[in-house]
Amino acid sequence: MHLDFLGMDFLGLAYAVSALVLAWDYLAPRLQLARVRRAIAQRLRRAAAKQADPA
Amino acid sequence: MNPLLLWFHQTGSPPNFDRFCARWAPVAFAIAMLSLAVGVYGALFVVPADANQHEHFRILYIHVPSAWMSLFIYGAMAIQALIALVWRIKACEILAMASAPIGAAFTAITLATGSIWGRPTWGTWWDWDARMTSELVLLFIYFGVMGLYAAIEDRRAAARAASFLALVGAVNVPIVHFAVNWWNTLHQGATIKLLGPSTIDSSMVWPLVLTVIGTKAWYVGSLLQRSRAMNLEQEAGKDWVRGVVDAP
Repeated sequence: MHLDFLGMDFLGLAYAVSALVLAWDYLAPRLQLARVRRAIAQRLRRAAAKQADPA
Repeated sequence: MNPLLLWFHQTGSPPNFDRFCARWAPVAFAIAMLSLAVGVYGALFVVPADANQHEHFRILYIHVPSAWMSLFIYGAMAIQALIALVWRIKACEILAMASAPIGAAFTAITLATGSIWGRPTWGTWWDWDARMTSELVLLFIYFGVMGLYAAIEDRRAAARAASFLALVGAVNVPIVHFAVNWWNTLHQGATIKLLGPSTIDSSMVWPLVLTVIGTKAWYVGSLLQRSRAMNLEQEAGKDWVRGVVDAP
């Protein structure tokens, strides 16, 4: 049986939706981790620059 | 001290927790992806079509493990929340809060795949029966825990408030599980039983076993990955974090 509005069968749609949600679950924390690491690195660079040039 | 308790306390310290998460998250994801790939291949291409439901029954290989995970993760989150509230262990606060989005993801998959399966099988996308409605309530409780955690600025106070909500919401877990027994629902009763005979043919079981293992391993991998990010975010000002950021 096909979905008229998508031209996609129910089976394919179910697996596609699941793959999409799992892909989000995999990528979201990786992006969050990269953002946190960038923020920490930036803060460390600022602190090092401040120490090198106290004036 | 008991060696298990000692290990628990040592792993719970933020630097050790970060190393533990960084080491085991890729291993868990590798197991998950391998199990899911073989399981889904078996579900789609190897097992025979069902006599009554034809090809649509293959949706159950992703729907059933996701439904089990939606309840399993809630149970795990509630236990972690209880430990976090009683013993104030920071790692447990992080684990409980990291569980919520993963549980919400599996609950969303359960609802979506169930709805897609229901259209050709029952002739409707949705019915307000006890199993489906209580599963939807479960999704809203997950969203509530995530929302409350995000709404409070102090991370530890936020985790405590959201943990309390997670504990209160645990009352819904047995309702979801037993809904098909307690009420007359459109949703069918249990096909696979741990105690007693299952009504699924044995030739159709092995891909389900693999997708069940895969989703469990996925939870572990995703939990460790999310926990690592949250732990680093909370510990951003500490000296040990410098080594983590400098590392490739």
